[in-house]
Amino acid sequence: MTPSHTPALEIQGLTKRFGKRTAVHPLELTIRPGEMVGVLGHNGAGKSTTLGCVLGQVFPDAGTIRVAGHDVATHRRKALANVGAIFETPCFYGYLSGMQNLRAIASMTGRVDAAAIDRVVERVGMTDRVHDRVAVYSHGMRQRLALAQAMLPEPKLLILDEPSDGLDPAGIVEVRQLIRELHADAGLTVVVASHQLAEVEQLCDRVVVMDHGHKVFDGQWRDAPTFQGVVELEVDRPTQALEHAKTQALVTDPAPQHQTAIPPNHQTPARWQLAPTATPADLNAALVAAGFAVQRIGLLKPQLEDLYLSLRASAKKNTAATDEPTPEAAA
Amino acid sequence: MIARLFAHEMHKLVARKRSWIGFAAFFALQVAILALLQLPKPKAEIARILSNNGLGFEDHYMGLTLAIVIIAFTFTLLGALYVSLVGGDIVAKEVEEGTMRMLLSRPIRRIDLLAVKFAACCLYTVALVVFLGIISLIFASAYRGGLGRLFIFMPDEGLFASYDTWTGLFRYARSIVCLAYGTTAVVAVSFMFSCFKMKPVSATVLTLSFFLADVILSNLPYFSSIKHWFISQHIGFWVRTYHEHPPWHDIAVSAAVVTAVALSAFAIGAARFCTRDLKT
Repeated sequence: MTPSHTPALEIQGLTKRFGKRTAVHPLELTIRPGEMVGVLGHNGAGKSTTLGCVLGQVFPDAGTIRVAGHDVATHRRKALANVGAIFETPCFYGYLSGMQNLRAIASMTGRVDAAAIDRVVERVGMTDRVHDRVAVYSHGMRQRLALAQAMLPEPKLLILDEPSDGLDPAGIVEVRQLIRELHADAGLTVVVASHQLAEVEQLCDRVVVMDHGHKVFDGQWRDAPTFQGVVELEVDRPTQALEHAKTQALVTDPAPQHQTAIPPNHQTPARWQLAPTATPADLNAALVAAGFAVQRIGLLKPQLEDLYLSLRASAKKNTAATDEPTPEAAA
Repeated sequence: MIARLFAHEMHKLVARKRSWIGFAAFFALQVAILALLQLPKPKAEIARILSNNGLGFEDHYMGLTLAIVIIAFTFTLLGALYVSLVGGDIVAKEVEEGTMRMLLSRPIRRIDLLAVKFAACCLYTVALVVFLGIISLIFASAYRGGLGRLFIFMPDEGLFASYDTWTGLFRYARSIVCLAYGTTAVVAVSFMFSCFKMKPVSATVLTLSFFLADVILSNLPYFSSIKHWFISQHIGFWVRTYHEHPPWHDIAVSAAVVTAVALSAFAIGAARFCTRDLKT
């Protein structure tokens, strides 16, 4: 039996190149049992390649991947015995029924009794339609069937690559609810790779952000430094107000990762970085005393989108800096 | 587990409409050939060939002889087409449609999956050839009202033989088994191409091109001294079983070449597939 302290997923030094392009730079990642982790990144960031390596579909150039302590490269069967996965587009044999698909796929793992399949089918709410041919299923039903196959037979780690891709709003909510239930009821470790920030925000406390094959963030996203001491306010004459606040040593330079120090319009609030000892109340008092009309003020409410965009901005800046020719190279 | 995988693979194969195209095409073709043979001119032509060889029309223009005519003229090209269609699909189609990624997220070794798929292809090929052999005989016998004597004339093979009904039936059954075995080389080559990164239709076209080129080269008069180098010459070893004294040594060599081609194709395909990255 796997001891509970063994990571559900452990990636060490994972590197993958496609030709001259490095898709994943040495990547370190550890996910503990029972965690629900979101993996974010733009197209080509390396999310799917990383998950492909975890599932043994893509061969890494370097590094090791262990699932429940078993090396995927050397002990594939043991490593993947407890893994369920779904991919962006759920693919099935359209000419077979949902039930026949489930049986065929489950047979790859080992003997799965009919009762277990029925339980999973009921859980994903497909009992009425599971004997229909998959060719007539809607995208949402295919996604539910994909979840059902991933649940056979009782995985401990669930890897979901774009689970809501192509679903209508109701379908997105439905799938999200299902994932939550699976996580809560079965205590599964869940890894969700997605473009949908709102989805990851609602599902996961911990996120891993990838950019051009690099991991640029890994942690509890609400506790990210990006959100620490950032005040959001609506004030008239924001340029002058910011200058005044700075002279009062209440605000440091506007938070560089937030692009709205001076809002472009009245609908957008300004975001400033408070000095370490200052509070929103101090700032409010100082601005009001100086004759500025403050409509609204408060600490920034963490939003994953803000974190993601700030990380993307930093990554772009770093890339630009790296791309700038050095004096030696210029010479 | 392998047995269970094989059962599911066969289930997938028979549940797919595409797998039945070959059966349906041969069925239709046989009906067409038998219908055309009812016309006076083709019938007279066959009577002329038989009488030129001193054989009676009524005895020899019967089920067994007609069945061989149908198989010899239909399977050479169409058989290759339909088995390579299935072989070309078996891996490449699953990769193209994305189901392969789902299968490979399971704790199964790629080589096991390929072995099961290869075995399913071979079984399909045997089933198709045996089906063709049986329905050819049934249709032709029904059309002529009996099995009759077996007459076979293939000048290129130096083959001219006439057998009574039971000997003919035995030889016919034996040749069908040999034809099925020989055809596994075709499906193995299409399976091999299917394991590479290409579309299913490309695997089928490449297989057909490969075997057509082989047939063309082997029939060029300049290469008659090296005919045995060409695979198609060995795949056709079923014909040689009709000789009054079959050249068993040559037949064994051809069967060995077919086996070697099939296993080599599987090994090459498996080597490529087992080292491939599968990614959308």
